[in-house]
Amino acid sequence: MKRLLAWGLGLCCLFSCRKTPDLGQLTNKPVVITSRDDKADFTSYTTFHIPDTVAYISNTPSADSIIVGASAQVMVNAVKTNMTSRGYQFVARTANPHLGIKLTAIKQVNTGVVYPPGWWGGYWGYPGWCYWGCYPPYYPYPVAYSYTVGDLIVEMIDVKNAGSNHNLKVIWISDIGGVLSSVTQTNIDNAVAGINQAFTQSPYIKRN
Amino acid sequence: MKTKIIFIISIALLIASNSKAQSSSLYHNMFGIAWEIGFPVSNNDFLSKTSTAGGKLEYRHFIKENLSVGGFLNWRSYYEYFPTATYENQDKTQAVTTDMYRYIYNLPMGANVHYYFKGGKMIQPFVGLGLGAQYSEQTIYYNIFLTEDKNWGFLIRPEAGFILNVKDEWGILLGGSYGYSTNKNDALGIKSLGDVNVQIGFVFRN
Repeated sequence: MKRLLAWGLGLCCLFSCRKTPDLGQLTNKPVVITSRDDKADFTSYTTFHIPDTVAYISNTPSADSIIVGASAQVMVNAVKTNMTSRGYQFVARTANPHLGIKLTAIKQVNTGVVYPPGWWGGYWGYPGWCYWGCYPPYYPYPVAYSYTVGDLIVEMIDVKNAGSNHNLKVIWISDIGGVLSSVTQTNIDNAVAGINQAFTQSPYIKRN
Repeated sequence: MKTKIIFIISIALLIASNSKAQSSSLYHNMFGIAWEIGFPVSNNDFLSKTSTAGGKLEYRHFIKENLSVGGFLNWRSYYEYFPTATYENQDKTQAVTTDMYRYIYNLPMGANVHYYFKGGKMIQPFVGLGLGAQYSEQTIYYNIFLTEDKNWGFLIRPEAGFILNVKDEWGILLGGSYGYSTNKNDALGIKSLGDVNVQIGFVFRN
């Protein structure tokens, strides 16, 4: 009987002693992922343009829209500030910018992966692409996304070398993702901090 | 933790000092259950924190007075928190910045053989060797995401220790072991798994 009890106790331990970390200790700050085209020469570009709106994609297609106003402007300005500090000049869309930058906010969309050379259908039809002729970009490297809760995607597109066939290559992308706060301002602050971190960990983005 | 271990060992020695002499020749079978403290000795770049979340179950069948064969099943959870940092791939084309928990769950199992030395009335020293397989999970938790891999590897597990004889039917097990397994995880740069374990527990025998 004693032996039986001991083994019973042992088996209980076996299944109950699997100790997992207290994930509440994590900061919940957004994860900042950046990826670049290793063939891109970032010093070959001098100008850039970024729209003053942010694309918004969610699980509810009818809710897909663009973010305008102060919230969008804060994020757009963060990108502008970083690009300017790296030596690039902001120009109007009509002034033939070398680089196009686009911001997309994604909320509660499932996981997706893009493999080269491919066209990512997820952005088809979004009016933001019409800034450079309504052609979706392609990725020269594999990119995986997790849209479980919320992501801000920053894409840098080579418009200078698009050519007559409108080959819009994404030469740099950042995914700032994680759990969203119920407080909008917190999400915006996290997005701005994420944009700054994305540039910090991408020192190769520079004019000279 | 250190105080707790010293207390347990003191109690064990006290009990053993009042017990009568035992000999392994009296026994045919022995069942063991022990709590284990683990120290990672490989992949310390991935994780190096000591774990107290482990244990083992084992069975030994005596085929000679000083020789037993049997089987074992252990379990252990290792984890460690890493503050926010930036990690780059080899060609520096990709980078990720986050804080994270790194976690390894091991489930070694296999057959064992033990040789027992003449240790006197109260103490029965032994050395042993375990061979088998190890199931392992390696996970990184960051924000709401996780990256996980599960794999199996060949396991070798030498050990040494002694049994403090308390009664005919049971004793206290004290020992240590080194576990090496061939579990691999290319994504996390793990080529094998290795840890040193200290164990304290009970044996029941007939």
